[in-house]
Amino acid sequence: MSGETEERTENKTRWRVLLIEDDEPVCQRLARILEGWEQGRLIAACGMLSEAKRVIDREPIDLLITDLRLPDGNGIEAIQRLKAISPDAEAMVISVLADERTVLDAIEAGAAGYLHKDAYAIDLLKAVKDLLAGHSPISSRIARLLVRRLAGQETTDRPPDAPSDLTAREMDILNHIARGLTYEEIANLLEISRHTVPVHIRNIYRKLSVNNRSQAVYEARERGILPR
Amino acid sequence: MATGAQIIGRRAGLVGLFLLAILPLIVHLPKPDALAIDQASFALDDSRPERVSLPHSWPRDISAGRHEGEYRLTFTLRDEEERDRTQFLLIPMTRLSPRLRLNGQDLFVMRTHFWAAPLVEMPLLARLPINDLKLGTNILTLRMARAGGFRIGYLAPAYLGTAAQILPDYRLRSFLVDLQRVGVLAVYGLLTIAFGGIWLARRRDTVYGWYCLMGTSLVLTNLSSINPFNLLREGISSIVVIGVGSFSSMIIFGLACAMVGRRGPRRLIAFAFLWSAVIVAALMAYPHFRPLGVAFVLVSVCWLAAAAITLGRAFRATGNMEHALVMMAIMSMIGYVFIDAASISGVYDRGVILLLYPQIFLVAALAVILFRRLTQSLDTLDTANETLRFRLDEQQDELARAHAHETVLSANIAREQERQRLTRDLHDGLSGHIVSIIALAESADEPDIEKTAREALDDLRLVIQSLDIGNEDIPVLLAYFRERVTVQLRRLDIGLDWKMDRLPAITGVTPGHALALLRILQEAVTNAVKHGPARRIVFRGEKAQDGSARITIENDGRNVIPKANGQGLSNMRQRAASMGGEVMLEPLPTGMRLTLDLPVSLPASGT
Repeated sequence: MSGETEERTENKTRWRVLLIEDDEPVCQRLARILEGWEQGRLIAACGMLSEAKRVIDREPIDLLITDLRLPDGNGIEAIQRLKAISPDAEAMVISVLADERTVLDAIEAGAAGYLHKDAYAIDLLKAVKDLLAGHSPISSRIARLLVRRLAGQETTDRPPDAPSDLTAREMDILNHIARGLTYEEIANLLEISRHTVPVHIRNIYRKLSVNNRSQAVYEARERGILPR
Repeated sequence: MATGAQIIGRRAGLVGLFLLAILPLIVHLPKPDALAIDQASFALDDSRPERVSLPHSWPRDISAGRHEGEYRLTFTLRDEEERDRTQFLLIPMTRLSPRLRLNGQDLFVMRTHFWAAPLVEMPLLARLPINDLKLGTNILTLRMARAGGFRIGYLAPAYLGTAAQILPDYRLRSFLVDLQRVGVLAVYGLLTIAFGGIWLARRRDTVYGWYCLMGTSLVLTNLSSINPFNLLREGISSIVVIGVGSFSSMIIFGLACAMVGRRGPRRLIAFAFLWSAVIVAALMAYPHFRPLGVAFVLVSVCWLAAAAITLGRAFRATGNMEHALVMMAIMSMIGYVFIDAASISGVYDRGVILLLYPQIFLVAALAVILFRRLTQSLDTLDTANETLRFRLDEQQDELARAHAHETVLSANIAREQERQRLTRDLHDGLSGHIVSIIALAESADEPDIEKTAREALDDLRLVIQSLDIGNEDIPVLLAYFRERVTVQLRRLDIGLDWKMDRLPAITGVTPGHALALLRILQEAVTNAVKHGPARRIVFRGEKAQDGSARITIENDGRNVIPKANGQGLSNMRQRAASMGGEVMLEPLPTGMRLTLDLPVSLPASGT
């Protein structure tokens, strides 16, 4: 609910949302919640990956909300395809448990947030709005896994200017979250504003996905989706 | 370092060594209990005979080179009985191998051993043939000839008597003089071989190399002095003795340096060879120039003195008895060099060259050192074995620890894999169905079903979270709970105040503990929401006064413990007890406070 969101609502069209969820009742429930959202417009609610891909190729999408486990593939493919076509579009994954491995896979594919499938409408919409305002959520578990992965990366040979290199501040924040500290505690500790913590997290996600995204762009060009 | 008793022991040892060193000077052999002849007439070369008393040395001032001297001893046999008792002649010490005649008849002389070179002094024993003995005056003639060199003739008093009177004395002297030479040579040879063997096996222990070299040079010195089989001409023999002797003295200096761990002069051995060659060459060129020989001997004495000083200093610094032993031996060698020089030059002729005696001393010192070293090596070996065994035990312990660690690691991996499988199964199956039920109940407007399904899903989440808990993961577990409860309370418009950063670290966390803790916390929140119309819930983590970890949960709702809550509280107590902790519920002026105390090290039970 930052200024940006409101600005968009006033000046531009509503967020064009694509939902992918194969479970019929859940899909209908989420579609109902999203349809009730004034700032967004549900373009399509798909149960199959192939169907969603056609929508992505055909229509401009601002926000993709996708399940990962689909009958004909993984939702990550949809994220990659969307990011290749319109890099500014946002993506979220919906999962029952939001377990860290699922979420991290999605983040590396370019997603910037996640939702629980059973979330109440109000919680679900708040999460969507936070994401569109540039705030990404992160759990202690995900941060911990991320810290471990980055620590492991340091031992392997990577070019020093690799884009996923985090700043010292970002590493600090990640470490504190992994230790179970709240945003408030971290903000006090690092003497920054409480509201900048989620922005840092968004940057961390972005850096993590860059490598994968360049790979996705390459693939998209190979497949003729993007001009070479 | 050294105790008083040790110092006294060392001093007594040194005094004993000194007494041992001067033994030949203070002890005189008994004289035979027989007829003694201590007067003689002596003629050198062709000069007029003169009367001399025995023991007698040739004049000191005779020129070097060839000389002959003749002693004439007379004795009278008064009757047959006296003649019968005069069976043997013993002269305890002679030099230059005299030829013996009785009344003009050559007599067979018992020359002790094959190495009885003329220059070497030795006892003389002869059997007097009864046919050649006359009643009345008899004349014994001893003729000595010197082919060259400086050694002068010497004759001790003569004794005449029966076998019983003469032979024991002869045997004693033969033993002391002759066998000592053989014995020292043999022991030197053995020790030299032993030291050489040690050195070949342990090249870095240069001391043994020096021992070996010294033994060899002393064997050569003694051999050239004894001159077995007359291998060397008489004149050359004494020259070679001086040459090899000075070689030995330089080697002894090298040994002393090696013993105290100092670097000796470079190329000492090569220099010693060269120097002894120079000595031999110079003395061969001027065989009759006595001061040259004296000078060379003095140089050798200087080397020995340097060796003794080196060892003496080291002994004073370290108290090492090995150094003292060898130093005493070297010092007595120096002393006997002077005594022998006096003897040879006739200044103070004792008739015997004693330089061999301190060498026995040196041999004894070397043997003591060798066996001491052996003992020390064995001790060191024992210590090393002990150390090795100790380290082996240590490494076995370490291995056991590593193994235990490995076991824990593989258990962790197995648990992780199991959790992943379980999570996947729950995710794909059960949880998906529950979410569908929630969606269906919501669209069918069945709030009870929806609520129950949501509770089931929440509980499922707690179980899954608790499965993936490491030993010290309480903060992560609490963070997960906070992330969940934040959303829940925000929806109900209840404020959440969370401060857990002062909670002490809790170890020994098992999935069972984790689930129990999550359920206690969930129950507390549920109660606050259900029973007290709370507007704010405060979570605090801190260290209790008794050191345990304390979590307090306060709400500002009703401050009466509801009866309906009895079951819930009892469950919480059971769960806290399973973690070794306890739960306390108390009313506040407004609201309630739940206090959960947990030990910082959770009990191993509780799964």
